[in-house]
Amino acid sequence: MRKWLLVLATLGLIGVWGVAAEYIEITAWASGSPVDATRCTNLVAAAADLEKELKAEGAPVTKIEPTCQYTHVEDWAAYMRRFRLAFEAGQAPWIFAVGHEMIGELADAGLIVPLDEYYQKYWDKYGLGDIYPALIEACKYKGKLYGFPQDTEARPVYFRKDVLRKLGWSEEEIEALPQKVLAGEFTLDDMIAVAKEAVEKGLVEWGIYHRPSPGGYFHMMTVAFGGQLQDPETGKLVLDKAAILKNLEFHAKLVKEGVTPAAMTQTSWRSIHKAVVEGKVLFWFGGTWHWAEWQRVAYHSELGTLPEEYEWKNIGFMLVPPAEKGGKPVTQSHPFVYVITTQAADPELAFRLVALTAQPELVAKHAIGSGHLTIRKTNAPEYENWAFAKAVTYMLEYTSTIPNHARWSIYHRAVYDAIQAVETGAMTPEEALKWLEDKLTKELGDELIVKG
Amino acid sequence: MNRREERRYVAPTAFARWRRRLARTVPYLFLSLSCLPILSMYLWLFMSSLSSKVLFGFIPAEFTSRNWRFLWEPIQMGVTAHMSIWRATWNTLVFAFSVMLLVVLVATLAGFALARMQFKGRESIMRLIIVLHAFPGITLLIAIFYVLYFLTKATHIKFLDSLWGVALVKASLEIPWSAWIIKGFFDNIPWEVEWSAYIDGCNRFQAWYKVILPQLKPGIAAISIFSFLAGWGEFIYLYTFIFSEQNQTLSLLIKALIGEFRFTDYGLLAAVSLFYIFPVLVFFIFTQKGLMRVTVGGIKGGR
Amino acid sequence: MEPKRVWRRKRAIPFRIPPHVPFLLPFAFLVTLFFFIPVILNILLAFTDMDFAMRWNFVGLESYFRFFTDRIIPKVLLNTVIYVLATLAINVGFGLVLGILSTYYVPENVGLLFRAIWLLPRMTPPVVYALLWLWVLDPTEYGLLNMLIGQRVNWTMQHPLGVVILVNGMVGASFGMIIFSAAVKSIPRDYIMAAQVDGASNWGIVRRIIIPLLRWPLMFVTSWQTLSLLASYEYILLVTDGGPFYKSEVWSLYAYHTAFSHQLYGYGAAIAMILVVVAIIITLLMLKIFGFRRLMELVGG
Repeated sequence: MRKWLLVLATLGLIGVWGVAAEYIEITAWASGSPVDATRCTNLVAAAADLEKELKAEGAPVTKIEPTCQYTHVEDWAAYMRRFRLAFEAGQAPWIFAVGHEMIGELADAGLIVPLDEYYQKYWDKYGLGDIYPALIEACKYKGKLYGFPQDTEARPVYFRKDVLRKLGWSEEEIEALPQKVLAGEFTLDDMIAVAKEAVEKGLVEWGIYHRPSPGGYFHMMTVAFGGQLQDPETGKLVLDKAAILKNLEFHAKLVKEGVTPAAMTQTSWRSIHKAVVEGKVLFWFGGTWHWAEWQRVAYHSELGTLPEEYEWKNIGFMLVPPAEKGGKPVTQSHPFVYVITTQAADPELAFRLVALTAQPELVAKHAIGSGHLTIRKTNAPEYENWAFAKAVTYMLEYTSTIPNHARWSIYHRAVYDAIQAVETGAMTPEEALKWLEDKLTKELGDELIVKG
Repeated sequence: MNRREERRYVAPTAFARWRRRLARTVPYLFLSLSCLPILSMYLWLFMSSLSSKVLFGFIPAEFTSRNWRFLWEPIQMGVTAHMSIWRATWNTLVFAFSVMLLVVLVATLAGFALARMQFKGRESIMRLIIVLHAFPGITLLIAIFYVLYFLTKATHIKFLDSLWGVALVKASLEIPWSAWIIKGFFDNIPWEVEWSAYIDGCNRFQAWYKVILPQLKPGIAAISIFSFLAGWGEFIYLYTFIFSEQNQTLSLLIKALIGEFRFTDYGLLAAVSLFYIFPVLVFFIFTQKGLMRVTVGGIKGGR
Repeated sequence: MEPKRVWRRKRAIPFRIPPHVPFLLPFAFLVTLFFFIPVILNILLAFTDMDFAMRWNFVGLESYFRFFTDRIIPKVLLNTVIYVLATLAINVGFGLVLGILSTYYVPENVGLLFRAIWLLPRMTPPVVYALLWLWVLDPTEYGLLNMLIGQRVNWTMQHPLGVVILVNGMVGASFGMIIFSAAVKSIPRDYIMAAQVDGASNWGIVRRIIIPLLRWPLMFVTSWQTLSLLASYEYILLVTDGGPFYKSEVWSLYAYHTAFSHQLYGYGAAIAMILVVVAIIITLLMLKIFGFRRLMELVGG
């Protein structure tokens, strides 16, 4: 009959009731922040629904057993290596949850299966038309869909309201800050100036923090300076020299003005969160998920986890300010997706399980619990009533994503390296740009377009 | 000669005596000072594992058992938890014992042949052992992945992401050196002892098992302890070849914890580390002299 | 073994497994599996451009050409030279001082205690040893060094290579120490007594008698340590991970990062290959210079 029956159907749960049950083990790996475990638990929850469906269809299955390994990832390169080597060893899971930008690399290496067929087959059954098309589009690589959206988010800049108050800002001024950013009145330079003032007055230890490890942020800043990451027509990666130079100079300036530590890239996540929740840093280039993370992980040395009221009172969020007056602010979305590996014994079954995690209740559970945004147009009431989502959703109009390209990891890592070199003083922005251009032209060849 | 005469007659002045005493204490002073950084590190480890706050690095201000709570509850990581310390400990034990058993078995067999039998190529094998011992196996990590991969394909036994598979690699790297050590112990057993076994009608395996092995105990103890500790402390091979959480050992768990709690919770890190190095300290205190004899080069890597 | 068969076929020479073979078989098997085959595989891998896709795509010498045009390589090579030489100086120099002081200048049991303390870092699992250093070098006021100088210095960022040298030196010195102290102890007591009778000072004895007799151990420790320092990266990976921006990246670590962080396995193998060749040359040179017998004595401690 079906392939999975041959491979995995086995007699289990004999004994107590003396009933022979056929069960299928579906394996999965998921990863993310300390509060993203719903990427795993939602799969487990969806398995019960899938089981019911199968029974209703008359399939001889009484038990679906998902085993999902959740990893809190500090080092994505190490995590991808583990997946890669596990795959090579024939020990890959059926389902793998990753950032959408990994699709290119995974698909080109032949590790994941295209899902177009299943999308078509189950489009109506699971109401997939309710998922934001842009998110499905983010799963596309070379014309095929390889992933299923899991969540998305915006990456705001958080600011400490309490520090601004101490700087003499009125309550109205503080509340108006996100609007000023939207209007293009508050720029990155203004942000540095405010941060510097706060540092000089001894209100905070540091003015501006950004993430310490490779991540979308570093490319979001290229976009903030008017740069492009991928050529929309050819799909090739773009090295936008003018924008990247501005990006590098911005980070050099952060360190030079004393608002960001030169060792920013060598700080641990936990100590960054600790500093932010304790108000020792004024601005933090974060992500929506941090809002939930602070509520659920005890980073604050006295308060432990932050009550949401504390957050509303002391922490604000805004888009990334524009580079110039009158410019457009930006943010970034990083859709997380489930992909199905070629080692899945039954990709169709895996797809159905994954598609069932898109039910409004499960989406809401993950979104609220982990500070991510919905993938659906219609949502469960608890999501609709979630104040934080209401407050950040406008940001999605200013968002962009990072490219899906087979050599993205190389580009990604190299830009991070260049920024680290500039911040730690190993290179000037010009030297770093030159190094970057040399490295990328050599390693990406004609997959790279150098601009400017 | 003249100088000696002279010395004998000049009464040592207070200054000269003081100087000589100083000269005698300088080595002690130097040695103590040189040990100070090492001792202070371990002292810190001990002190901060017991207290929630340390003054000047060493003086515990408030004693607490909080840092040791990982013994009865998993270390929280947001809404999920790091793997249980006991699971990691069990994995580490399995790994270290596998390494030890393999090393002892294979090295003792090889050491016996090298010490007791005359055959063509014996000298070359000894040469080879020296070369292998010096050779940095760690540079071949990528290729070793493929060896384990092909082994898995050929036998359908999991060698990758398996403690047993990595133990095989680790043991192989330890074996040349251990065979060498144990050969030295064989050399010290008089031939007559072995002969008497043959006269009693033993074959070579029986002789090995009944007569020689008992006399080898100190040697076996030495390579057992060494290979056990080498397995216990192993990091890089496990870090590279273990993929799933349930196979993690203490070294991998601590590496993850350092990544997370560095700068923020040294108390926890110190307690977990102390827990981890406990067997090392025990062996260290009780088997110091023996260790010293076979230590050199016994563990390779960044030394 | 089976007399019947021998009777039947008169001309056939009875085949007997030589008695040493079963004893050496497991040893030979493992050595082949994890030393010889990996060397061959590594040679093959270095001729591929294997990346994330892990395909055995043979491209000849491309990876080696890449090695010579890689802009990071000069930096990595320079780091490696500085790291090896400076750590070597600590390992040999400090090992010599410790070895002589703890054997010649102080009573045996006292010397044993000091040597034992110095062995502690070597016995400690690398992750824990690295943690100890991370605390010593912590950039906040809680770091030991910062506590001592009363300033906030980010050591791993400002002096990454220095940190790496210190971290490895503290483990490495004990190697020289053990070898040298054993050598000092093996010097016949008469030599030293005779010198003492002649009125030689302690320093004179060390300089004129002990150090010249330590010539072979000195050469041995130097070459052996060069080899292991070239190949080692575990502590560096744990303490600075080669950063910031390759400031403490050494050759072997670069090979590891290239393969396992950037997932360029073919290129990583080529970088490692050059190291493997260097390692083989140094080992063979050692065999040649010291001669087999002396090397055996030296390795045996």
